[in-house]
Amino acid sequence: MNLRKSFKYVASRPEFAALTIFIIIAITFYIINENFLNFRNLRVLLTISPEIALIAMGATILMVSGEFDLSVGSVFALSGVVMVVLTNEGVNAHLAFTIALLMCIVIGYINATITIRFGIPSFIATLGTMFMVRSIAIVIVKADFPTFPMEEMYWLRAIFANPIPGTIFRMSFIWFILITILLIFYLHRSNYGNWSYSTGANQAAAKAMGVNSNNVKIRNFILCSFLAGLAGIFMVLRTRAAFPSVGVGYELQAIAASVIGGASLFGGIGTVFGACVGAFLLKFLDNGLVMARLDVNWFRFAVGTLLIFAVIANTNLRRIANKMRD
Amino acid sequence: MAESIIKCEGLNKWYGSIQALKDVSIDIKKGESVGLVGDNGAGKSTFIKILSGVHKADTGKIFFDGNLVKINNAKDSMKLGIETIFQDSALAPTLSIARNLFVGREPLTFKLGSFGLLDRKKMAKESIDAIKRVELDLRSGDEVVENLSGGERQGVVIARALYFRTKVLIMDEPTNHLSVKETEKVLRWIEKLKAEGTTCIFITHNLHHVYPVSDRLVVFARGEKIADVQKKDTSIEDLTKMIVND
Repeated sequence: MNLRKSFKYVASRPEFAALTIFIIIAITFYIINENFLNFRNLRVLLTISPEIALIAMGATILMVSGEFDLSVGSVFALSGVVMVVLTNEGVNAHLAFTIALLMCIVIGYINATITIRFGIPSFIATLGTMFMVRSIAIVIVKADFPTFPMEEMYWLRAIFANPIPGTIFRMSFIWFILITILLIFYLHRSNYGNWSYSTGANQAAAKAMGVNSNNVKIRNFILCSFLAGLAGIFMVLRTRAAFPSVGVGYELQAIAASVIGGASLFGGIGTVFGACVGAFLLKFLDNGLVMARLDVNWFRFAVGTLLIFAVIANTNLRRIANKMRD
Repeated sequence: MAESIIKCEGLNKWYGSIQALKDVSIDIKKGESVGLVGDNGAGKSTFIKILSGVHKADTGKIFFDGNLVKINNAKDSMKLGIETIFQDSALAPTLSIARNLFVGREPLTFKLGSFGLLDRKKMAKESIDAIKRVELDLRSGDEVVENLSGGERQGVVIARALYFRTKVLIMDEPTNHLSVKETEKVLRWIEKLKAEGTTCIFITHNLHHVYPVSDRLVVFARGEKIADVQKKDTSIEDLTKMIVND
């Protein structure tokens, strides 16, 4: 592969631009404060980043097929709340865990049904369910914080949340890696993935080739909601607290992470890896600002700048790559 | 006389109170290439949409290869071996040629229900072979479709039809928005399809494009078939008069 070809390869794959920015940011924060990449902080980073990365991967896959889900932040909160409240009510913890995830699947299905059946933009449909789901999460706990059932959650914590002794990883990180690999196969190596891309890029063409675009979207809505719910459960098991107010704004962070990672708002473009890089980038930035002793309120400013910068860079790189013919 | 590949009897289609197709019967022979001409709203689009499974006829029968068939959706139509290329909606622009070629018919290495893992080696190799058959100057199936010219895109679509041994290829305005040079190329590919025994049906406004490659011309007006003639028995002038004066 010559230099020109390599450049074209990298330029046409926006996740590499995001990866470059990610490395630069990590190094910069490390230079400012070398504790940024020490054992303890790295453990924090590898704990919080996968949670948003799970949501971002779901958001990206859904965006690839041409739809959005703004309810993920609310689903993130509701799943944990439901699991904890049910357990407190005497339901077996593992059953509560399963019910919470099934509920996320149902929410995803409802999002899909409203969008497809009534032909309205998913942006609006899921904006609606975002409010509704958040409301349910708050009502369920009676605007209070439920106590965390430590004993009942022992095994769930052991399987999904506890730190792995002698490493910087928690169990959730292992799950995150496993899920990421599965999602890479789903989106990039399977026929379902090919149908997702073609549906997002040109739904009429996909339909003409016999792809059932509605099923593709239903599947991806469900996947997106499920991953958001799972991320919420990971967080609840880790923090040992179910707050109905967590995850506000996550929907936009997930979309920001997707876009920084190269996904297109118009569908048909995006990668699982890009979503991960985008999500890690956001969390590293958030944490790095703290470690650099800067006012944390600059986080949103930084995300905004990064978002605009990344999209401009991606668009132009793509244009350049498209012009290059081998 | 050659055998029929598609035979329609008494097709009727209403959109609400408007009758888009009035008792249309057409008998298309194997290997024939038929140009469907007519002004906007003449019914030619409705007719092909019925054949491709986008719409269903309200009444009437369709025989494919001698058998009475029901075409309820695009998949039914494709299963019979009918492939339809709609204007501007044949390809997914952000996907590679290889992925576009196989959308909906991906070769798989592993299958579980309808889910399967792509046979990417096969897709890469076969896409190169497929493009070669239409003599497109594209070295790799990895090229993204949005980088291709309009003519090259039609080439990819025709390559797909050739690859899947489509029995009947329906093309909606195949030479629209193309340069003169590219139009010629597309018409050459159509000759190639004919040579391979594919039955071709075109819809077009541009008689001059379709005339050289058609064996037969069918004129639609107000939902009715008003003429069905062999090319040797007609001329562009006659046809134009029919379309204009109907």
